[in-house]
Amino acid sequence: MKEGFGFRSLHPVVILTYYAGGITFGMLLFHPLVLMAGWAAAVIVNFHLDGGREWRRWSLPMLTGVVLILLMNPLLSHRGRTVLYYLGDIPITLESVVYGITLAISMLNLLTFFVTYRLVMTEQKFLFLFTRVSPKAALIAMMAMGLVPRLRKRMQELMLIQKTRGVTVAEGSMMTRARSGARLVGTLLSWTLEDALQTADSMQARGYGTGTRSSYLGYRFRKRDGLTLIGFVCIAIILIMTWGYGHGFLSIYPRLGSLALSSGDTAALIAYLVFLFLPLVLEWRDRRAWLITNYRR
Amino acid sequence: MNSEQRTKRSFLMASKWLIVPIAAVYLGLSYLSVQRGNSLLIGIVLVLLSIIPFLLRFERKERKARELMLIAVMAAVATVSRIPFATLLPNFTPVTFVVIVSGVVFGAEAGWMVGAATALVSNFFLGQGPWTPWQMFAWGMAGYTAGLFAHRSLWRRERLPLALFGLAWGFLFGWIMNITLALDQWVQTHSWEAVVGKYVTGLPFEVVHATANVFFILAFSPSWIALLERYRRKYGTLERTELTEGEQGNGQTSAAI
Repeated sequence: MKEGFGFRSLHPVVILTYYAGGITFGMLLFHPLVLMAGWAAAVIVNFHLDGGREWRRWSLPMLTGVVLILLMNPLLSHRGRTVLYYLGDIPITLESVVYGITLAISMLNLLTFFVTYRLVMTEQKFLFLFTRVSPKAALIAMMAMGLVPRLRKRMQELMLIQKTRGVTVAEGSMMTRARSGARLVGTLLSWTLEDALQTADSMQARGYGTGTRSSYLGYRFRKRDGLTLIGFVCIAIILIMTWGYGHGFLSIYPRLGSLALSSGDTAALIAYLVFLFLPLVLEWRDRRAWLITNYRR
Repeated sequence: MNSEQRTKRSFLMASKWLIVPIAAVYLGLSYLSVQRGNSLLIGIVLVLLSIIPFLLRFERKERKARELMLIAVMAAVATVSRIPFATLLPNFTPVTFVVIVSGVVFGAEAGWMVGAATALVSNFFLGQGPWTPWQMFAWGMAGYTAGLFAHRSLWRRERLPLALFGLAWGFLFGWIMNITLALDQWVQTHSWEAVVGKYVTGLPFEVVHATANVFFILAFSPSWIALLERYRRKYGTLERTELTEGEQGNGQTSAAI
């Protein structure tokens, strides 16, 4: 049900535009306040899509990475006019600290934004896009993807069986564990290569490579896709124009500029937020439609 | 095929060329961005562009189903091989080993494909992110260079030269993954000291990775190469053109059987 609903029901091209745009702007804009707003928007989008489950699962690794960047930058970079503090004889400058904070927020923003990518851009949609560009590579990716769950099951089986022979990754010294792990992988490899041959022959027998490949077009480009795409493009143009005039980023080196948002920065901020929230309009619309139809019944 | 379908198909084919203006716009944007002291965009744009020539080369040739299957199996095995090692040290995985060995046996192009597909597919399970194209590039290059490295002489498929090769890639992989942050340091400070500092902090991870590569290559590369060599013949695909007559004949007969 979820696939045909709201944001997720959009055409893969539109979804790709959204993620490409979101990442591009997340990297172009470099102002702590703007990026913070973008991060908040990404969290809200996360909550709309799955109640924030996936986001919570990722929050700890994201936070550790961000804290590392935050701490590392002032220690590595000593540029900037305003020295806050001397750590031994290492100068810690205000500019470097602010840059580190901005970079950390920027990373946090990008990663949070990307969490929803997993929810919306399913493997099927990704491959739908990719087969246009590179059919053979897409076929390989698709076949590998299909193999993984099967191989996983086999690996569990192998681990269980080999345990009775004493080949296990859970006990022994580091060396023996690594060795038995690699032995498991080797067994899995020869097992899989053997029956993958049959799959390949079956493909050949069904006429793989005899003509131009037909494909299953599961996605129609509907009116809502067109409208959303036009919306994305318009906002992107506005945003890049404002960025081109020098708004949406903070001048840090050599001397920290004012943190306050100028009118141009505000315009960039608003455009960025509208871009991030645009697909949620469909989410709201479909949710409303769902409630109304259920109420009448 | 009726004309409507044909126009649709040719439209889809033409849409491939959209990539040229988009790439131009992105290069312009990232250039401007670097001038303003922000290097986040340029790295990812360049690494994505670097994938294109490999893909084009791979697509240009006629490929048999068996060939594609072989590559897919290698990528899937490399993905799954992370499972038994998940409980050991972080970064201690045989993925690079699997990619290198496939490059050695199946050649540079197939090696690139195995590496790139592994990065892409494993991230569908572990989580896609801005790091996916970088991993595709790094593992793809590991496979590609392994193919080139082993191509010249059979001597280079021995344990020791391959172990040195794996050692080098243990470090190179981490360094490629760190490019984004190192580039950022450079644009920020223009001092090599900061860039080197960035790389030094990542060194423990690279050491673990390199140790894993050396360990797997020393312990398992002969048996894996023999195994894959056997299957290459059995599948009758991805033949190395440079092999001696006898070996090539052998491969063909076993394929015929």
